[in-house]
Amino acid sequence: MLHGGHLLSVLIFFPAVGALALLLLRGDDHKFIRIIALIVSLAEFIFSLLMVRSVPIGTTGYHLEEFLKWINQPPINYHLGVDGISLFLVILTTFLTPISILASWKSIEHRVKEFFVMLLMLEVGVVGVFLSLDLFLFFLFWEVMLIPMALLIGIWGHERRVYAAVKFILYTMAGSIFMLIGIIWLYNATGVATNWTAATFDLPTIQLMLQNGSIALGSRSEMLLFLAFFVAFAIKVPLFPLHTWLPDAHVEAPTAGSVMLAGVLLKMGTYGMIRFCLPLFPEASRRAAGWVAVLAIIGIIYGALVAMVQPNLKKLVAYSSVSHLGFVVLGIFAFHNISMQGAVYQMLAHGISTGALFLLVGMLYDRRHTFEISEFGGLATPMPKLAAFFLFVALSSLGLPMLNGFVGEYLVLLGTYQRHWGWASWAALGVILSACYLLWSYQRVFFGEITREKNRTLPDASTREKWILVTMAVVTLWMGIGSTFITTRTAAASQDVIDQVEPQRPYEAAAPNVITPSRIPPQAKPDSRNASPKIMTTERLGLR
Amino acid sequence: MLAPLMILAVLSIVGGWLAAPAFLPGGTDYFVRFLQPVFGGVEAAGAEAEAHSLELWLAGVAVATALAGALFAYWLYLKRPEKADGLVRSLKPAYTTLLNKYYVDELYAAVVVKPLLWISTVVLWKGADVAGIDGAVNGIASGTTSIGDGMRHTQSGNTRSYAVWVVAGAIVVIAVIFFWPFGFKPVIGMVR
Amino acid sequence: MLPRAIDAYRVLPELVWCGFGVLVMLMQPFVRSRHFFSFLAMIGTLAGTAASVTAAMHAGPGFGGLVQSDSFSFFFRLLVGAVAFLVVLAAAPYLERERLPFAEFYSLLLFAAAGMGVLASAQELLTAFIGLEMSSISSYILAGYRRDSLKSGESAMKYFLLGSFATAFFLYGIALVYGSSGTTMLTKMGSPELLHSTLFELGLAMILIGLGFKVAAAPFQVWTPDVYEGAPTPVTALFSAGPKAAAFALLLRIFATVPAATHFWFWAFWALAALTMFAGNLGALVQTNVKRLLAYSSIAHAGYILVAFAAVTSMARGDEGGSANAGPAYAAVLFYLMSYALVKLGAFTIVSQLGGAGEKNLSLDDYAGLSQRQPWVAAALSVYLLSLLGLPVTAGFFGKFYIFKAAVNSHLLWLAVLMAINSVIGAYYYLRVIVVMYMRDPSTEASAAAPVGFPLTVSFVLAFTVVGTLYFGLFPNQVLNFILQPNLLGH
Repeated sequence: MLHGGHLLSVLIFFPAVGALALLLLRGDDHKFIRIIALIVSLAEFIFSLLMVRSVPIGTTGYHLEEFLKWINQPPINYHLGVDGISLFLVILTTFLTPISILASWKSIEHRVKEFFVMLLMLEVGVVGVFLSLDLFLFFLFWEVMLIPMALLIGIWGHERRVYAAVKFILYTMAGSIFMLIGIIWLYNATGVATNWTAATFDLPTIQLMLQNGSIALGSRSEMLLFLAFFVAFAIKVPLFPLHTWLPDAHVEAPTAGSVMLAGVLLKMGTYGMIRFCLPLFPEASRRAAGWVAVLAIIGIIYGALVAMVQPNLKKLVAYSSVSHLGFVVLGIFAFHNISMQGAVYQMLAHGISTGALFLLVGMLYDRRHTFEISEFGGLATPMPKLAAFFLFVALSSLGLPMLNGFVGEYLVLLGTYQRHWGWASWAALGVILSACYLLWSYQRVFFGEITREKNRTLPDASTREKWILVTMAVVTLWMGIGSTFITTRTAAASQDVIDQVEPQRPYEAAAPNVITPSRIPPQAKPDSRNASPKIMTTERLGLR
Repeated sequence: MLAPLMILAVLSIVGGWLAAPAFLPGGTDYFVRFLQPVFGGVEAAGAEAEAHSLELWLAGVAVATALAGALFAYWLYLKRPEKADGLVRSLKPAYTTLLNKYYVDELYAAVVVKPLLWISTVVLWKGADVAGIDGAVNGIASGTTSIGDGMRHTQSGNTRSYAVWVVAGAIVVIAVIFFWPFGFKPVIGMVR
Repeated sequence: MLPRAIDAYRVLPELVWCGFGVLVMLMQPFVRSRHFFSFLAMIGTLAGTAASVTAAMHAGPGFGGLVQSDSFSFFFRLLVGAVAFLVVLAAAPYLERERLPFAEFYSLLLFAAAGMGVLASAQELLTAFIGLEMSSISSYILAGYRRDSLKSGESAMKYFLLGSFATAFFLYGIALVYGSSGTTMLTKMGSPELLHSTLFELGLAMILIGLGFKVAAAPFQVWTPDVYEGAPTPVTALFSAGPKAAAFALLLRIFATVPAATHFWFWAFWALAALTMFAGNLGALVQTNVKRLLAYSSIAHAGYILVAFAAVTSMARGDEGGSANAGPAYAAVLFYLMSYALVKLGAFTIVSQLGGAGEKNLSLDDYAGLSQRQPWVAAALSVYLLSLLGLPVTAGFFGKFYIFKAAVNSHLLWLAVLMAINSVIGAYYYLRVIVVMYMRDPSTEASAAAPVGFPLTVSFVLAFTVVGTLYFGLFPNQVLNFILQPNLLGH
């Protein structure tokens, strides 16, 4: 059952089975509930690792496909598949879920059973989103994960949780309902194109029909459709100026909720851009790329600047998410293989490092029940281990080389520079600013003298917390050093997406899968014929 | 603290000896020869004699300045400490500038850091984010709710006014069916 | 000519329902046990529903064309029968609690069901009028069933006065139609010169107004909040599901049979749909009484169904290939009505149980923390609310999806956008109830009070509707295959 055939369905529905099992337990045996939830999520993680074998390096297309006819009229199929990009996003999800469960071990004390049920159902929805290859099925999972997340925020969150939860749902729903209209419009177009004999919601089929011209979308229609999808994803990412739900949702969510929200849910937006906006609407994507890049850069700098002046530590991390995901969007819409891979890598890296940041902030909250920076100060004295982990994670978040954040940001900047040096320069400011706010807040919280007496007796990281943090740190380091494991698998899929947006770029057809030192252009070689094909002038790109 | 210093001191001396040029007594040009495969040889074409004398002059000036400074510091702070305060008083402005590192930090703070923080707080965070974008979002929400609140007043509870609504609606429907100016070809509702 | 035996088969469900209604009425003085009547009514509704299978097997026009037994009327008879059955189940504990007479309630309910069946299968306007009046008059009385409650009496009065007023429009419309076409038989109104007849146009407009009142289309929806709020809650459940479906059935049949109707009514439906959606959703935003909130939501959902009607008119006008392509739009309406009826029945059942004696506990505050006091009830209500919201995995989502599809198919993009906006507005007040149930703690007296009992019949209704909603949300194939068949209306 786990080999090939049904692995993806198992991945989607196994947490649901676990949630169902939890529902049947008694509500007051908290320890047992937590253990079951942890075992289910760990098993899910191991299952997801089995996918890696089935996605060979350097191949495009979808693997482990499952296809079931679901509804006859209109023809909707239960179509699942995984490729290089979604592979790691699913693994990220299944990795962060047990971490979140471990993190909530002690901090959730009321309605414990429902909490873990919601967390597992959230995992179902998110994994479903990443694995669906049918537009309708994708929309179904997209909406389904809204309710568990809203309940997680609204029941177990902090003071303004109801406002944050309702804002989250309504904001996201407003975007996705227009995506539904877009999906139906696309379906209609397939119907008209095949004279209603082969209308479909199937993503690969629609992609094929758009590419070989069976479906002729007018340029206005294509732009409207692009926007319908893009706005829904932009709200999720979040892209400036549609980002204001994020600070509220993040701050008011419980720790596990914030970790899942930042680590995984935000990636659904960027994943949607890669999977839908670019391949289905290449012309519209090209036309919109400039605007989107500008918004992304504004998001990077704006997010960083606002983060700098936040008195609330969790809100600071929330705004840092806005800033980091601006890099991802920039990388996607630079339409360069390197920046696209950087974007995918940054998605994964951000999930780990910001997830870890939220975990640490949550640990601080567990001790002092506040997020205000002014309440902390000099915490390195009573909690040296926690301080050390916090520094490690902060450095990875700001992009220190050898840690995961560096790989993503560097690749994005490198690819973007080759397309438009101005974009890359402005975006690079974000790197500097992220160092500013992260290090400055770290100094205010951990270094210096202890300003409040309560902080003097705080307990250091417990064994459970150390296990969580060590795991995250090890993954961070591994992603920073051994990034080829991931990039070799995402390269082909990224190239595939780029090829559909800008097919007339033959120089990249020979692009290698891995950035190795031998590809970096040697210094001081004045002969232009030996110049690396990766460095492109604007004439050769045919831009502007 | 002392042991590392001692080690470092020994290494400083030895390290300097490694790079000593060949024309000095005891020098071996070891370091230059070590890097020769990358940077090219030490026997570059040109005036070797002037190069040597230039090197000697530079080395001599550097050593002399260092020794002079050391001797001056020894005289000022160990032999005649009272002279230090006199120097401070007579050279006050220069002294304070040097003491405050040319005021570079304060310059940064005033020109870069404070304005940036101010802009970030007032303009970006409070202004754009909270008041602007969030204000718009919450404004839409409260606007919609007030429209809903206004709609309450149509439900007066008075049956006769309800009947009036029915009649008014009937007139509107009949008017729409009859007198729609665009004839029966719908225009607005269709998008190709 | 004399009616033949086969005609009786074709109206068998209505005959059965009427028969059982009369039976219940006649036996009332003689039988003391109240549960006997509940039992009898249950059998009656189920028998009628089974009889509709018989009627479908003998498809064809009945009584010389006055009624038509086809798949379309079969669907609606099934729907009406199921609604009536579930209302019988839900009403029994309510009637007991409020100490109201049983027998009259059930006989009125059965007569109303019969009337709705006639309305759904009528192919001639006066027959439709009979069906309309049968169901309406029973509804008027049922609305005022709680005789010692001012609100109930007010609800009945308003419904009666305004309903009669609207029925007058309907009748006058029939008169004008007869005057201009010479017939009241829908199948005989196909002649092309009617397309240019002003009198015919006016008559159809009046008919639309009369039926628009019944389905709570704006601007005829003003009666809905008051009537729904005042009526006894199981009766409100009936109102929200039954008469609406039957009236929509008649409208659909007129669309399918009379070509002039689609020709004239398009813009009216466009405007009606937009107005109704906004009226319902915006009005519900500020409601704190759950019953009234659900009443406004009924208005909003009528608006969504009207969007499908606008799509039907647009497609059947020949722009998109004629009424052949209107099949999916009809199917959208039918599916939506089915999912909507299930959900509203369940929701009002919960409201009626939780309302307490005298229907005291109807405000949102009384639902605070329900998820902690009675988790399964809160979960069921959440399923209904999410279906109304249109969240995937529920039948309501598929209904909305098909309506969107119909609208986009007929290029009514602006209307689709308006419907999308309304869905988001609607999401807010449905979420508010969920928020109150899950994210607020129960008040001290509520948590001290014993949980409200849910007897077997009510639990059955809830289980049936929840399972139905989720099942049709995941596997709508069977229903879809049925309602998408090309010969739905027998021609």
